[in-house]
Amino acid sequence: MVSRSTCWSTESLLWKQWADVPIVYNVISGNTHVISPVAAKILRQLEQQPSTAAQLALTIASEFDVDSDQEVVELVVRLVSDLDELGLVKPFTE
Amino acid sequence: MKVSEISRAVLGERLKGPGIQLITGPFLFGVQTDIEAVIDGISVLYRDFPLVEKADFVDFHVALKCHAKLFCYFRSQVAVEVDGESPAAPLSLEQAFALFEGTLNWCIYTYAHQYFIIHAAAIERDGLVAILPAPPGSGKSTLCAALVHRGWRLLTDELTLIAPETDQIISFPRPISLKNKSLKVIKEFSPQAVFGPASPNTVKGTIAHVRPPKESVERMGEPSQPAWVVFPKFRAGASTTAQTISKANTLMRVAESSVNYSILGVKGFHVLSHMIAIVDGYEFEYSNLEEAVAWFDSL
Repeated sequence: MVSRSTCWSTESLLWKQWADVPIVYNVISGNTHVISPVAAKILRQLEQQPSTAAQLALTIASEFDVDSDQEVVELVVRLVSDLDELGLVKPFTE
Repeated sequence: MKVSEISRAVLGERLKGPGIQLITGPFLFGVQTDIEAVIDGISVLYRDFPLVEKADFVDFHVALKCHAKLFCYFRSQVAVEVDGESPAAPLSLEQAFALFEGTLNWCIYTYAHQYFIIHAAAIERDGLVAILPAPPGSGKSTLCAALVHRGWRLLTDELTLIAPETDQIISFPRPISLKNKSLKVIKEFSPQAVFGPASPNTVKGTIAHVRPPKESVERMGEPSQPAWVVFPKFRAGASTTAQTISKANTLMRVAESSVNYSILGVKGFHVLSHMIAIVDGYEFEYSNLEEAVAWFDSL
């Protein structure tokens, strides 16, 4: 289970997007993924700077114009957990 | 010099002796064999292909020979070697030509990683290419054979090669492999189609090959631009339908059909995404070849 306080970063990624469908290529694993716009926003932020689930939830709430409540934080935690399983994110270490 | 410019007898002598150097697309194959069915197949199906008289270098040395003279006499088996190594176990002599064709394909998908390789047929018209990736049994080769006998240029029946430097498709025309019911279908659809020796009792049933059109062979040095990716599916009784599919879906499915996407790494992703940016993707279901050809002609 992903901890809300864990700080996350991404692997090295390459991007393509057609018709609002983001595609991401993981340079480390060689795997290609079609992802949701919300997952793409999370990965984009983590590329900019390592973040916790709570910080990511603020970004998602702002981007999609919803309140950053507990529900959004839980959604982000689940998404980060999925992205972790796919090898697209990793715990950030200095 | 073309294969057709030497007699069957002389071709046989050369293949049994020093071998021939055969140009197929960007590759030069050195070929030796003492198997009559393979000599017949090369004589008939590679008739329009050019030969090199004395090459200093060939890409692959392919040899198909009786496994051992006595063993061959009793059990009729054929052994294959590529550059002196045996990539496959000996097979029945009656499957020799299918083994020869499969070995040429093996050479390419095992070693030719200078190209992005898709397990797909590719046909061209007016400089634009339709790529047909599909698993076995989808009717890809039957459709490909029908289209190249109705004016489309054959680039490949099996392995589509994309040059990473130019994103263009490199023509690699070879005999089209058909099996079982498809043989009769194409004989009826294109009475002018020329077939090579049949290889019965393979794991896929009876296989025979159709000679590629002469123009396709003569123009095999011409690269061309991908324009469509069509995933064909034959279903008995189905009406002809084509549905557009998203670029993301097309990319993922072509990646799955690629022989070396994971081997090429980042370069593979760049080649694939460049191609997806300029092609339209379709799911295509058919049962009637005339209707299928008409749909392709309307692209």
